[in-house]
Amino acid sequence: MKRILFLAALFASANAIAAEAPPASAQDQPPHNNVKLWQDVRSGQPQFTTVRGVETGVLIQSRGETWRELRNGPVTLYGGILLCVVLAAIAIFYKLRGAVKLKAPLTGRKMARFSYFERSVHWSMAGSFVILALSGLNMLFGKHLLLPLVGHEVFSWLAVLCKNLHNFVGPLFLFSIVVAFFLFVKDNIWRASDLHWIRTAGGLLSGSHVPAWRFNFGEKFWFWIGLVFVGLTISISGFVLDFANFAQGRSIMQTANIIHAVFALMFICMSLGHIYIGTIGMEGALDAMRTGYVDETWAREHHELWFEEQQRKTAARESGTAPASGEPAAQS
Amino acid sequence: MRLILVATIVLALAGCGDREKVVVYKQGDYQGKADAAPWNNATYNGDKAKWESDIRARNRMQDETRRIGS
Amino acid sequence: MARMKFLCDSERCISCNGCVTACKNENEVPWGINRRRVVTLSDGVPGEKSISVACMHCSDAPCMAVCPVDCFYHTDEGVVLHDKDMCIGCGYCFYACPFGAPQYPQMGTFGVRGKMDKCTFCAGGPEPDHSEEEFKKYGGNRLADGKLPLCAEMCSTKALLAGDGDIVAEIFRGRALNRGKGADLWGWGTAYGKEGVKPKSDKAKEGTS
Repeated sequence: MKRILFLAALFASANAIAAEAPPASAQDQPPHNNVKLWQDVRSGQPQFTTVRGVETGVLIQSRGETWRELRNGPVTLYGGILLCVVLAAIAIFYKLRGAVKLKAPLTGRKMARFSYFERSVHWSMAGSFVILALSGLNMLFGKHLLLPLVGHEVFSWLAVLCKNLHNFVGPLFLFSIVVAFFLFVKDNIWRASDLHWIRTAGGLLSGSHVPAWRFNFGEKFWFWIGLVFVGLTISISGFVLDFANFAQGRSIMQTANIIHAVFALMFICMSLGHIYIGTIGMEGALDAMRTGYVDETWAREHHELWFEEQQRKTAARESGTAPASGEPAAQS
Repeated sequence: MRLILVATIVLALAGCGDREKVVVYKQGDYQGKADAAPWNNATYNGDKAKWESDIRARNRMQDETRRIGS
Repeated sequence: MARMKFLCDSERCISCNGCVTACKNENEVPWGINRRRVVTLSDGVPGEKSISVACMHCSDAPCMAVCPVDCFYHTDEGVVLHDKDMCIGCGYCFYACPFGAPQYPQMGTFGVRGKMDKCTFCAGGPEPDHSEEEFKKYGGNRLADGKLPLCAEMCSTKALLAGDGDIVAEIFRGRALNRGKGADLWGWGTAYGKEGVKPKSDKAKEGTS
């Protein structure tokens, strides 16, 4: 009896040891099935291979399927819907509200709003954006919209052009964003008047007059959320994709691609609003960025606080020794 | 009562928005250069049957037990 | 119609990399491109297994689904091929492929991707069979000669099988049936527990202790 108990105890302990110790050491028998093999195959972990390269040791990388589902599914579908909705909303808004006209007649007196350098930065940013947006949209939607129209040969030729333009213009966009940030950040800091602007939605719907400094809150929103946050996110994720020679793996590129696409679509939607209000949406807005000068009426009606500040500065300068020159005063 | 009825209809209609869960094997929309079938060349002169039997013979040759006779 | 498939028997692969060499030789791929590679799992420990992998010529090919220019196509034999004249080198097929099959020759300083290159099942591409352009762009066309991919045909242990999926499956099934017991026989360990059935000598030892 004692012996049986002892044997049972021994057996139990031996079993316990066998259960605890994984068959990892070289002495142990491999398990008599291939469970571990196929688990390793599906794990996506790099294994041994003599072929040199990035992730050559990974047999199966499953996240590509997720990327495919996301890109071909929600990103394309809802991104497309979003773009259409924004375009339609702007069109309806224009139909209902019309352009924001100046109430008072033009004075004919011009005041400097953007320096030559500021305008160069803005237009290099805008130009590179338009190229990037069109070529990027072509990559996402071209297969569904443009390809059936022009055929595979022409579309492929166009897509090569788009891809190379996208890859080479991208860095210029980031460069202009960084320069623009330092150029405009001073006038985009929060002011007390912004709260009033938010409460009245800028008077965009009511048409009421809301005083603002050099940039109103709408412009500040575009600056901080659009240019700084979304713009930088797109640029950084774009760099991950653009410079594929830093041995980054597939999973980081898949993530970067989804982020790039989602944020780029958001940026395009926001920029549509910006372009609308900067061109047909508001009388005299385009002249500010095109020529660098605005009429005093425009300044008083849209940026009253800035206008008064500039008037005070001009008055101070004229009362001083320096005569007023024809050159626009530096706005920095 | 009306609420329950409306809720039932809405829930029942929600099924219409259900997406296909079976994978559909979609062929590509390739319309580029046409690729000749492997039997349409100088070697086979379009003799599809001969190509197929050749490939099948090659295929079976990979089974070494059959080759040596088990 | 035959549906061409690869199958690598992990019980037989000895990771000699003969398939890799054969592929490079047959298709004369550019430097840095590996259409096929051998991956060894549990390297150096018991249970080591090797698997040779290349494009698997999927029926629902992810590369085909994400290609923005639709340059992929299935041949009638189920081989996934692509037109390099159309390829723009965007890298999307590389993101989508679970096997890492698409390869890119790197051009220029910033690693700009060239036209994608991948296993063609030794079926060339959309150029006239055995033409100069076809060989330059896609490599050899053995299928047009009534032959199967070189990697599989010259595999010394016949671990890598290629060809009509039905016949390949039949061969593999025969193999699995003929295998004795234990890990060699598919499903044995699952059916009879982790240890399987031990050899007689082990049982005798247990009895004496």
